[in-house]
Amino acid sequence: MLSPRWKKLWRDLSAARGRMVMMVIAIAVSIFGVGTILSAYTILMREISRNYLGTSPASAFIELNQVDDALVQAVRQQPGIADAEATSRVMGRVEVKPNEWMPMLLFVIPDFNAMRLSTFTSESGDWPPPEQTILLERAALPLTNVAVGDALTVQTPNGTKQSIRISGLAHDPGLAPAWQEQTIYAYITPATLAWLGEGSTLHILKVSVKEQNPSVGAIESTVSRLSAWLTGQGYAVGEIRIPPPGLHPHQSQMNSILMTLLVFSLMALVLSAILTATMIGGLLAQQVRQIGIMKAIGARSSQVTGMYLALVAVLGLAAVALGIPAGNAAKRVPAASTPGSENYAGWIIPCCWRFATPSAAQDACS
Amino acid sequence: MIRQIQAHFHGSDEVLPVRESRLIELNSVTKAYTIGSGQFLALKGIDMRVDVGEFVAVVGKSGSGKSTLINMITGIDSPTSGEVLVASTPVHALNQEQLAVWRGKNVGIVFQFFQLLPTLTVAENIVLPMDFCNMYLARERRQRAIALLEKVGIAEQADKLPADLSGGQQQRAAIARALANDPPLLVADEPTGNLDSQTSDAVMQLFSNLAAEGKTVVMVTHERDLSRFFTRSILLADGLIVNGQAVSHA
Ligand SMILES: Nc1ncnc2c1ncn2[C@@H]1O[C@H](COP(=O)(O)OP(=O)(O)OP(=O)(O)O)[C@@H](O)[C@H]1O
Ligand SMILES: [Mg+2]
Repeated sequence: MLSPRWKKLWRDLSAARGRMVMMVIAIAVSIFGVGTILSAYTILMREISRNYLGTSPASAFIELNQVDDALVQAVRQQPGIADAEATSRVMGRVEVKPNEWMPMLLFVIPDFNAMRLSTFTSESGDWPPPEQTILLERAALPLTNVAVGDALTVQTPNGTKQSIRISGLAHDPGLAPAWQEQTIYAYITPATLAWLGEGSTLHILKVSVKEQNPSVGAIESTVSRLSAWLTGQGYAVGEIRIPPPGLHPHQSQMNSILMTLLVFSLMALVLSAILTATMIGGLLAQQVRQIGIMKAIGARSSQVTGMYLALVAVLGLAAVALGIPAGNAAKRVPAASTPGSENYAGWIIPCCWRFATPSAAQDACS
Repeated sequence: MIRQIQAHFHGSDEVLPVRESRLIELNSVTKAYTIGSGQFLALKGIDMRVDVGEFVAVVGKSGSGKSTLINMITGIDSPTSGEVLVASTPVHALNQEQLAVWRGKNVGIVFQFFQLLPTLTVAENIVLPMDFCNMYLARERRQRAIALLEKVGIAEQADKLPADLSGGQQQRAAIARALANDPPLLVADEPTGNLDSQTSDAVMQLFSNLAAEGKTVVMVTHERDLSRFFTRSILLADGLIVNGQAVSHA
């Protein structure tokens, strides 16, 4: 049987049931928040980085008057260069609604089955895309208001309007999602490029450097040596683009968002701690008289302290018992429902985050 | 004049023999409260003795220091200077933890406003001091509580909450609680202050019986017509005893 002091505590607790439940929920929710954000953070950091590095991102993109197979072969032999590949980017436009156009970035891939740098994968449909068809980046499809297999009206700078069929979808972890950039990403072969009216010449040389985890400076010096060599070979070197090495295009943006979320959930935890302190303070204030009586009839300070500490411990444990399994459940559900860990984040990260940084969420999910 | 009397009693203190039957002894007890910038002397040098089995009334005007005085005896408050000995224990020298243990076993306190814990039944309220002081076997405590309730005449109220009892019944329950650990000393601060005269007579009779059984009772009271119950009265005025030592058992 419970001794009277624990009975007293229990009855006081039940008397203030409503407030106590509120308090426990407040703490549980903030524990849940912090736990979820922390694990989302860990997963996102790991997955995004892994996905991105899995694409063998190029160290630099060098714009030239023309890039052919022989040049690519020769560049691979240049000092400090690990690999090279030809590509092209063409900015065109696509009709998404009658008379409503959106920019379309076309990536020209000479050989879809032998991509070496900044690679992407087939999501569905044909691979490689047959001539006079395009692959869309999967996040771009919803913006076009059509389905795979349907045709889109596309125009490139030097071409006329062409109706082109979507033959499939690709998944490119190195890109920002279409709906954030408001740009449709598509992939075509050089033959399709020629058919669109742009000629089949490729203009961009993608290179990667030999050095592991290179700094921007190291890449710059290797690439400028290469650039000098290219000029010497009679090529006209245009813009050279060096993306932050090893970093997903939205990594830093995502880092700051996650930090913000973490700070918010920590603030929620602090707030619930303050709420708890206030409520316990209120409870104790109501009990000052009773504490006085208990001490007058022989209760030692340690006994009284023990009672109220036990009360706080019970509330705290209840909150933890609620918050931690909830956090774990949140982690388990998406793992079970979507094979592969990539889609964790889309489920875990609350909608507000998606709105705040659609690209980051999309990247995480893609 | 008061100072002269005080000086007189003070002078005679040294020659009083320490008696076997002495329970309480206060020597030159003062109590100063800090109020605002200055100090206020609530007790200005109290010398007082109480023997076993006495039923002592502490009387005096409001603000004369009655509550302050008995708080010295129970150790609820500590004197600024002087000695408080209860059953030879130097109460003034105990720390808070020692005081709690000592008080729980040696002093039963009864307050004006009964002060039963509202969420415990009457019986549980009486078991509480036994629980805190770890007195009696756990399984015998309730039985003892019921026996004490029988003694104060409200055994049938044992399982009710205090709020369901009348004022007189609550005060009887509070007396039963004061007796829980069988202390030699009962201290009460205006225990009848909130009761009608008939009920207060009954409560006084209860205290009187306890004194007759050998408990020592020190009680603060305002009510003059209760004097027939006491073996002695101590009159306080402005923090000094103005009579009372005269009725000594010397
Ligand atoms: N904590 C305190 N701080 C400052 N002054 C105090 C404190 N407690 C008591 N006093 C003062 O000490 C004096 C004696 O107070 P005490 O409570 O002992 O009076 P009392 O004789 O019990 O009065 P009453 O009959 O009204 O209960 C009063 O003037 C009171 O204002
Ligand atoms: Mg008083």
